[in-house]
Amino acid sequence: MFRDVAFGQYYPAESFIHKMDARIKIVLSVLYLAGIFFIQSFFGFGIILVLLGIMIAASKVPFGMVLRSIKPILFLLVFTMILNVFFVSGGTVIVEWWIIKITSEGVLFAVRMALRLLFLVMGASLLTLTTTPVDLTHAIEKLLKPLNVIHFPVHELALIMSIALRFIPSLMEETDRIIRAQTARGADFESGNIIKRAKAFVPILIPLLIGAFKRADELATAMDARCYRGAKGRTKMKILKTGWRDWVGSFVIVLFFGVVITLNILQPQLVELVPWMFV
Amino acid sequence: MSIVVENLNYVYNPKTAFEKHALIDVNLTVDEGEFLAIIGHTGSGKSTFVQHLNGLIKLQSGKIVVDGIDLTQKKVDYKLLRATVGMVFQYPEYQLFADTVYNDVAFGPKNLKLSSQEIDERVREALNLVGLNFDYVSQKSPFELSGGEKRRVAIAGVIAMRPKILVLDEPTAGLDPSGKNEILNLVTKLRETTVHTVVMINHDMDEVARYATKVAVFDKGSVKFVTTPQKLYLKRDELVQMGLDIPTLAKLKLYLSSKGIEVGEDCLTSEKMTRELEKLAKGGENV
Repeated sequence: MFRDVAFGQYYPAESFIHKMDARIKIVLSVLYLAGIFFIQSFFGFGIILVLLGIMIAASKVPFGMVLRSIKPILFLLVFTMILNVFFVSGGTVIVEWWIIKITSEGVLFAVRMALRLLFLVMGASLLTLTTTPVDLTHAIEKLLKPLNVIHFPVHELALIMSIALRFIPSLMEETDRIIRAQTARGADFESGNIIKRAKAFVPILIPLLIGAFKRADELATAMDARCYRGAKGRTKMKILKTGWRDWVGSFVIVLFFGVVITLNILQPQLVELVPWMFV
Repeated sequence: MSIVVENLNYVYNPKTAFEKHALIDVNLTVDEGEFLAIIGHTGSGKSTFVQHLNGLIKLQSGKIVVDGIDLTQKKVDYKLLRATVGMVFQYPEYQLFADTVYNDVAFGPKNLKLSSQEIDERVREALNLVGLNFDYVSQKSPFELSGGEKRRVAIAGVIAMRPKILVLDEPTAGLDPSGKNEILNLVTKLRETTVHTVVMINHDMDEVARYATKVAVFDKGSVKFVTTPQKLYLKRDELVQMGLDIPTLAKLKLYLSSKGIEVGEDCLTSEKMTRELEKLAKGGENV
């Protein structure tokens, strides 16, 4: 039942992007996301499309898996598009009826916004699809390390994250198991009104919570038994290493960012020469 | 015929990187009144198989008929199916949720939309069958009980649906020897009363030998062979190769046989083995 959840799902493969350093991947993802916000023109979106295509090809993740990450934001996507179409005005009027007015500028704005969201989510999901949760938290811990200076509990935060990530599959499995057990006893989760359905979840939630508390207790004891004392003097088994792939990846993304910024800065000069670039 | 399974195949996560063939061409029949033990390694497909029997896993390909209910049909009466096939999962005590033992055991019958009088009757009957004192436990919280008691309450919750077929997935896991005996004796008792057919996943060969009438061995998603507990000793090499074993008394029989002493195939309990050996010893004196 919960096996279809794509969010944060790691796709195991041996690829260029899988082998990159998680820290670099996070930084480059941020750069990529920032770059998207500088883009105003369809020419720019074309550049992202090419870049995203290259990235997906280099990650060996099936396109369908990447596409699946859009599912949760589909509603948001359609909603913002509709709002933008109706409330942004400018350019030539396409439809005018009663208080509704659709303009060319509104449609273009809506399409740009939608493309931005799509590229944003697909790019971000590529990070989680190609990086194991363990590497991801490890990298976040490393990247946030400077915050230790202001006594921000970086290690504790990373530990909470990795424990949470570690237990998401376990809890899902547990939920699955409990649902099966209660279904076997004739429980029905699919029919009836909202109140009835909400009530039907009590027999799932209570055993799940009890199990979660029990696990937390056991984990704490197990950590105590192995002398866990927090971040002090703790080493890692897997050390993140930067290699040639990271240089290549960085070069591509920085180049992309550079092009986007240049286009933005030079827009006043270029718009007369090559107007199609700035539609 | 209580359960008929033909050419059952099942694939987890088809067409993804996580694709896994859990069941490959499984054929199995269980007659009414039989006690089928399923043995096999973790990941051999046992659990996937038994979950097909009450429709918790939807049929992908193949054929299953359970007590006359054909699961290949487009419209399967799942309510009837789940009332017919009672399913006791591994560590069933983790599914307890209600405020009182009574309400927990009544959960199944309530889902069957029975009258409150009928529900009351069934709860009393089920708690009585699992050997718990109704007046003592019914108003307690299930979380106050001991581990073995919790498990019995959970089993009572399944029995209260009065299934004809009872499926148990490692019902004795994590219990101490006396707890194990209690559960297995309970299953035997149920076979004499409400339940007609039992399917049990179990790793303990001695338990299998003592209670089952038929044994199916699963390996890597397919049924390697079906036999009786009496004939298990003939399959020792195959079982050992799969990382399994034969019952202790079957080992003893093979050992005795290597020393030239032949005992019958029926000696699957220590009582019977003792009697047989006594008989042989006496016979020896006479010669």
